[in-house]
Amino acid sequence: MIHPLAHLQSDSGPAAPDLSTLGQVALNPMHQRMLDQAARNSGGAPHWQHRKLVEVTDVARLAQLSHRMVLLHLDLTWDLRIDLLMRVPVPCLPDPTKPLQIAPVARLGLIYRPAILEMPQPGYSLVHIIEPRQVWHPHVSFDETQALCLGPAIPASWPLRECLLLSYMALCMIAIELDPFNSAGVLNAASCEFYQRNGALLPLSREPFLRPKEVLQ
Amino acid sequence: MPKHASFTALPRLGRQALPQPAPIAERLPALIGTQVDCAPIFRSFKVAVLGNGSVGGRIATHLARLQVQKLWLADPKAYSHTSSATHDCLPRLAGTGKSLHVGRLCRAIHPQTQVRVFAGRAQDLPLDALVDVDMAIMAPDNLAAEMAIGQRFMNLGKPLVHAAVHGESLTVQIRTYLNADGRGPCPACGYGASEWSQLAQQVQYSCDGQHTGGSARLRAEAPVTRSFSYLCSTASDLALNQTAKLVLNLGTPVGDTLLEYCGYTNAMSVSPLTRNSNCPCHHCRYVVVRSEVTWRNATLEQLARAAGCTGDAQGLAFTVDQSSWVARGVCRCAEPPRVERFINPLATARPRCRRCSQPILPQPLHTYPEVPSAILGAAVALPLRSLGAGHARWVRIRGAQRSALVLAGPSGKERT
Repeated sequence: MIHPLAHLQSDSGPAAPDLSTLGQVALNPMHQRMLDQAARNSGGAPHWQHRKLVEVTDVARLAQLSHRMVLLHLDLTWDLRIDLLMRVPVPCLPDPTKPLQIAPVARLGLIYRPAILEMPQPGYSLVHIIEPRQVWHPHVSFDETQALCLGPAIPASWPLRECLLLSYMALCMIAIELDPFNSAGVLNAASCEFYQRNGALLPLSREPFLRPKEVLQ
Repeated sequence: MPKHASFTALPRLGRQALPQPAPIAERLPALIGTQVDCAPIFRSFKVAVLGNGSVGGRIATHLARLQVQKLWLADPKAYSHTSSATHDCLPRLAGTGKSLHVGRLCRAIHPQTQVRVFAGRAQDLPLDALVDVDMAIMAPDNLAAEMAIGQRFMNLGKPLVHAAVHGESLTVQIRTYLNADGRGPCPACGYGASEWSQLAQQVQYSCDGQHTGGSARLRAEAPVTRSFSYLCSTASDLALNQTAKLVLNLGTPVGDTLLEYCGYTNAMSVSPLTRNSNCPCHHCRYVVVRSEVTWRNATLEQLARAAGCTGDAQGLAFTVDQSSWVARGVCRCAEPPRVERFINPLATARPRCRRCSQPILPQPLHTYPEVPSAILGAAVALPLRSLGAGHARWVRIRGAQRSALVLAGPSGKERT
């Protein structure tokens, strides 16, 4: 029997992924090995250990589903710390006299602390950009730490995958604050004025998180 | 050495000081049903009052009249032009810090009481700041402070009385947390969905906190207390009565109870406070130990052993005063240089890289305010001075089975 809506279905391949299927993604052997090794060294209260495992499993599934991230290192010894690569355009200004450069990949450091289970955390406390350097972005501090601010506060117990999605949107400049006098999220006031003058640059990408044009190997 | 938040001792009063008050024993009642001599108990009493506003300010002056030995007062705010409507203060005090004014008042009431004041948030005090108190009484105006203070005194194993008013319903609530073993209730145990939502709305962070490298500049925005002045004083009076019952062991036990008074019905009720198994706070009592070993030569391993935490050798996490363990740093080099020292985020002096000669800044992903022993590795066996922590005043050790607060030096040496 032919389904009445069969003519609307594409013959080109499987359905586009979406976050509702995240829980059904089976981890590949590489990610499973990383998780197993990290879990062996997991420390802290039992509920915190469980929570870390849930969060890092979601991040690994997101990496597999999106083909946009590569997990480099997991550390569950106390906080949950992740070193990962993400395919996302990152604006950099190594030389103020030369044009803006767009790096295609960011290396991010994520720190998910036990305190987030109790109360909201500072928006700049979760994500740091390890590479590239000299990131020129209103929500990224223009110093060696390169903290990425995701807003005035991260709600208590907020899932890590949401932080990653927000980070992507922030770096692509899909969701951005350009008012230099707004203390909520702005860490580089000079870049606000730069992007106000160069609005044609925004956003850096309109690509959805789950449909990368190139797979990050 | 960068300065950390801490209490300030108020100076002695000059020769023009008021006449010495008579000993309180001349005015104390002979309590029915008990042979307890209250005067020496109060004379040796050391108590912290956290929140010195319309309720806490009155609590502090009550305690001064009881001629307690020592008072610690903390409040970040100053009086406003409307404070005199609820606070025990005059309109001309607008702009004066609450803790400072209340502290001066307490010293004037009883000059022998040692008074320490801190014009900041109680959450910003180092862990060793309130170790010597016998108990604390709090009357904060925001949930974040309630949670943090509740957690601290649960960890220290000291009783905590929480006084609160709800002006609209003419209600006073006095919660008494015994904190005997870390398994009892804490303020957050009683939070429902509305409290967690209110907490999320109240807590705001300033981006300035990112630049200082220190703790985030948290602003807990709560509406001003809208109440009658007399309701606030009712709350302070009831809080003191619960304190006296606890300290003097009078009448029915008050530990882990909620006392409520409603001004509409004039009804008063007492109900038990119970532990919430889903409470996210760390329900644990620290073992407080004073190190007998010369601090600078002590190792983290020795301190853990002295605190009885050696059973969790693989699962311990260390917090050293207000420093962070920096495993790797950031400079101009491509490869992050190893640092492997405790560094105070407020310190301005930074080590320099031998290759690029630039200052080495902490790399956030490799910076640990609370560092697990697995990350420290062999450093747990090195003296604190060689790890940059020779000047630390305390070390907190947390494990799955046992947690401890190890203090430097013998009892009596207080940091003010």
